[in-house]
Amino acid sequence: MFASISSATLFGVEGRQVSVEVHVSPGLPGFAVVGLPDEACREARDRVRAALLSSSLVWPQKRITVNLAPVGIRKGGSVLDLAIAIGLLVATDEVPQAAVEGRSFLGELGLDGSVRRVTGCFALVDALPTSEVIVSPACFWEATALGRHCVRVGESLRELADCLRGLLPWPSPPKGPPACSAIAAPDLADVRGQPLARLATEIAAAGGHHILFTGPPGAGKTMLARRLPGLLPVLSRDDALEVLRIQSAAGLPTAASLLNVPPPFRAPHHGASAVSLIGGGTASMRPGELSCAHRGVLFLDELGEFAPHVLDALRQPLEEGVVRVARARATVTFPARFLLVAATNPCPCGWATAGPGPTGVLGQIDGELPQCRCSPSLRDRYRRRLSGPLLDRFDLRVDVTRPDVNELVEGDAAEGSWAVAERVAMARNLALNRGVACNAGLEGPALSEFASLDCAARQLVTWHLRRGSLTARGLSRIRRVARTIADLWGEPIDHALGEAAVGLAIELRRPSSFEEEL
Amino acid sequence: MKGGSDPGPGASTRAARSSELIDDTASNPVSDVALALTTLPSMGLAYLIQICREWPVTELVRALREGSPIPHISEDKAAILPAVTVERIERWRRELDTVDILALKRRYARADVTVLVRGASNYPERLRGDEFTSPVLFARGDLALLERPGVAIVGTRSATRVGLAVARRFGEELAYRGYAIVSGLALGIDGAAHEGALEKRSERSSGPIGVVASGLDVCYPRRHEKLWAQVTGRGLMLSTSPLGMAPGAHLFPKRNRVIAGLGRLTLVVESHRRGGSLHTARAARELGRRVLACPGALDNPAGEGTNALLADGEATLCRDINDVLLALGQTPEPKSAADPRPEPSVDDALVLVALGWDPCTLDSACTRSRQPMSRVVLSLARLESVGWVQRIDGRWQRIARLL
Repeated sequence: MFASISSATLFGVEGRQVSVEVHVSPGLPGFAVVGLPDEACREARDRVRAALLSSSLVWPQKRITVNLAPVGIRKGGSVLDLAIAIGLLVATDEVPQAAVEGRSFLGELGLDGSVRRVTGCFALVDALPTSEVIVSPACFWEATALGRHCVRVGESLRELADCLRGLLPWPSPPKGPPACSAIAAPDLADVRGQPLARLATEIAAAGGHHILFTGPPGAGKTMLARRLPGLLPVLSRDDALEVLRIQSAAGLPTAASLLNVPPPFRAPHHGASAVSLIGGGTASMRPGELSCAHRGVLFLDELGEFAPHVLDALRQPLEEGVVRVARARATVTFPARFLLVAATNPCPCGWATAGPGPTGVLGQIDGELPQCRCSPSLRDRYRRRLSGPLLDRFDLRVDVTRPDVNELVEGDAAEGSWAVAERVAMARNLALNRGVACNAGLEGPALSEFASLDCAARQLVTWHLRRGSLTARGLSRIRRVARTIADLWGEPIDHALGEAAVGLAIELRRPSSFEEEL
Repeated sequence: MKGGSDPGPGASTRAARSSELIDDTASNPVSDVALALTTLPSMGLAYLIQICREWPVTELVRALREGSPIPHISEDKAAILPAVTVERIERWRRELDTVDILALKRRYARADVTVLVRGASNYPERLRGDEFTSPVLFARGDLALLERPGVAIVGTRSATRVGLAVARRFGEELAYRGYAIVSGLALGIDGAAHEGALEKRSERSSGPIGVVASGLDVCYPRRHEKLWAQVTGRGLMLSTSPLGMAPGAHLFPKRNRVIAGLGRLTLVVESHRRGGSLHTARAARELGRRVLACPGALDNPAGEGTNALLADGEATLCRDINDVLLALGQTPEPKSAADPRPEPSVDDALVLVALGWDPCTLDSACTRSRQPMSRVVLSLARLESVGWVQRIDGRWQRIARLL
């Protein structure tokens, strides 16, 4: 008359184990679900009844009570459907109690008795203490990615019931993982010319420094930004675990194993709301775009077109690497440590700092480059949309100009992504030896130990500090970037940073059209 | 917008004048009535200038106060001033009766604003001869600056970086030599000239004079709020409008005339083909002041106006500070024959020469010099710190010589 089935629900990006207790007793027929179910979870009553009946299984004309323990936390979604149905079968002695021992059940039921996929399977499986998990075939690869559980699949409730009774052998899992939906990142070799912007992209990838591309339309800002993920190394096992958990909770396609997870790349449209970036929601706490880009790249194209309050919501996650979403019912912490890549026009019309292009003054007389038509106040307003504290997070601010015509037409093919990625991987390894994932994470004593300046570099920095073109805050950021540059150039790791590396770091942080001071 | 928070050198005289204004309640001296006149609803700056061309302010005030007919309103004068009818004068008289002059005076004293009326001793000496300039001015700040020789620096609001740098440099250099920089606090060249004048390299440096068209309590443009406060605190603010007056297009030409009148010469740094700074230049010529203009590059639209001034012979060429000093009757400072900048090293010189004379990005600098980026960055950083190149709008530019 009683059964307890192990299952799990999703809370943020974490799974939580839930025991589904089913009690069947004589009395007025009825079906109650208690233990803080939300609306989708309460609807399980109707789905489970229909599924049982259409699977030609017995629906007891008795009083049924389902309790979801622990009672204190809210359970959302349809993931408990399967566990409730199996619990009923055990409680009515259709399935022996011994068959469900040491097994957990995750799945949504269709009215026809089919078992459907659930979101967050990876995180849910992670929370289960049992050694065996039963899921729908669609979830098989997500459930096995963790590699800790024996995963069994079942197409329908009827099939599962028969397997549990021992009437049928367990069905074989689906063949081969689904084709990886991640299309290979485009190659950096497609970018002609633009040596400085290419170098900045490489530095951003190697050091994890946030980067802002500014320039007129058609200069290649977006093109460069889209090639950045291809320069990053595949994720380590720990990082992959975090990434898969988030992707699974967000309902995104996930990799089939922890071994070869590419860093995620997210590019939300500039109409995005603050909640869609940060995460949250009323019923279920869903991770936002920031968390989906965890350990990868968040690309904000047309940065100036995002609503200012949306952009300012980025500031705290950029600083702390996590998003804390507080709601009346609960507070969830989502990881959000990403590389921010942004692209923007310098003004609404896009041509504010176009000036004479690489072809020289003559190009302008020919009318080759349009001039900015925006009034100073309009330009000012556009720039003010990006708050100072947000701009300050960008260590690399690159003005992208239209490439030289000659290079477009007859330039040699540039270095491809794989060659750059090799250098990036090497630089990242050096950072790992310093105890951080990448140089952007160097703080305090580590910064002074690994990024000291040599005499000439100190002179250069002093000159900029005196002149007011560099602030104390900018200095430590420049030292991190300079460390990355020196690593990429293959300079000895125990030497102080030289004038050239520091000079380039300053050049890359200098007032592009968006800010007056470093 | 409280200039009073920072007592400048003129604070004591200002305080004395304020108390004098308040105590003098019985006899409504000329300046008080003139102040009241400017605030009448049916009185505009244009009227005021027009009638004061015919009758000195003192005479007009007396006539209005005593109720006697406006003196000498003969046929031919009525023809000169068609708008100033007897009815209108009656209306002013009626409106004047309703003004609480004492309260008005208190308000201006509280705002630390002094009223300068033509004919009174504190009205700027240099404007006295100009009948087309505003007969009533409002001042806040160090009035002693009016005694200093002035140089007007004007130009376009949408200036280039080079133009702004030039204006700032001239402002600083001339203020350092004791000239009061007169300008309009507008965006662009005006603001840059004031910023330069506020650098204050030595005790001898003169404070700037800002001349605005809105009331002294109406900061315009709003972006220059800080600059406005700085000029009030360390220099002098003049306005052609009473407190509370919003800026209007019709007010600016009168403001420009005051700027031209206060300067011993007017320097136009950058101007588009049409622009307010050309009006200032014309006013300066009408007043017999010299006009200097900086030449603009052929492709620079902000140089068209100044080039036109030079081509038409309305302005003399300004190439450096010595041209200005010469026009002011000063002996030009001898240029040291040797470039004060240290000779660049062979490597740096290679980059410098390859850079050429038009601004270029770091990428083009590498292409032009055929050097790797690490080398070019290094050279440019060194060259910048000793003044051979500068970075403007993300582009590197060779500096021919220090201004």
